[in-house]
Amino acid sequence: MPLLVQLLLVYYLLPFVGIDVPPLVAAIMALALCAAAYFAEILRGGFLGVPNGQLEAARLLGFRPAQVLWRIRVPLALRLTMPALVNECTMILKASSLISVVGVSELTRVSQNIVATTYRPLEIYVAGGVLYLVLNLALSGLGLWLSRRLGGGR
Amino acid sequence: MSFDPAVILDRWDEILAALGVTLGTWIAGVAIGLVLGFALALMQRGLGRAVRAAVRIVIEVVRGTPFLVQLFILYYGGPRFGLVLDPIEAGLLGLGVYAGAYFAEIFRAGFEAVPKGQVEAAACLGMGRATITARIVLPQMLVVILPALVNLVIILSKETAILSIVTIPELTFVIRGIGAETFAFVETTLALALIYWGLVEVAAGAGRWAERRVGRFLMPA
Repeated sequence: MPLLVQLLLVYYLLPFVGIDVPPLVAAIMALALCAAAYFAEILRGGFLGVPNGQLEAARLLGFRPAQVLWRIRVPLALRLTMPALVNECTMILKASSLISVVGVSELTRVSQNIVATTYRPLEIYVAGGVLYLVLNLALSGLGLWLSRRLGGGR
Repeated sequence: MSFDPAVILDRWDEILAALGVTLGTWIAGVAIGLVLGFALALMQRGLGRAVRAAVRIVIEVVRGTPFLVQLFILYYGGPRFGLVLDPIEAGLLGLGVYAGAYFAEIFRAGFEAVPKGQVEAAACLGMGRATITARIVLPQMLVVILPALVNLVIILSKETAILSIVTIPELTFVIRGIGAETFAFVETTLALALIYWGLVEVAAGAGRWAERRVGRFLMPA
């Protein structure tokens, strides 16, 4: 279901069941839940991509199950899925603009407020868009650097 | 507070009409996006370096900014450069452009997935570029990129909810309106979530069916 609807659901449902949280907390919870679902799918794929031979080799070398997990499976899965994980991070950054709807004063909300007082929608929203773009480019750059550092999956 | 589903059931006809708007904007957005994305992907293949760079920048900008901000620029900022659109037009154009940038990336990957030898063989047999694209490259790449296409189409169905913020009377807008009138926020939002969930499940089912159908054409690995 759309993130916007998830956001409204968390925002309205939590007070309904007696949990009172500020809009920002509800928004972060909704974003985190949505991101977690996507990250889980990506990482599941990553874990499936770790060759079985690596695990068998680690066991033969006397690694304990926890060590196999943290020293072999997790690093390999992270390396395999790094591009997808970074991509998902940029999606979340963009999705964060939606929390303006529940009244959290983030970039988009503040832009709307400025527009309401200055009546210059084009300039303000383009400026907001540029800020998102710069953040996203920085994120992708970081992702590229990370995948190079991690050896590009080889 | 009490829970009263009658709020939703009483206004079923309004909600159905809104569902129609959601489906309409979704399908139109996908159609515009497919055409635009294919055009962008072709431009990135065929034309000179300057055009390629320009298309690349357009795609990166559209993919790097939130859909909501793009809509605001189109709808509220548009009149400043002479582009006056009603909400539906702005929504369709915005959704189409947003979809186009993502479709273009999928098509680009698809073009690269078709083995070069096949294109060369077709050229040797005397086929022109258009014939090669239409009869050799396209049919093969569609099989390869179908899962990505289905995925994007489903993502777009969820993006249509954002159109409610620029007052397009689609599902989210109408049901939130009912919630604001009746103060039944929990019931309305739950109903909204259920309807979208059903929509996405149906779309995903159709996608799986399509993938199974074209699966027979996949070359054995």
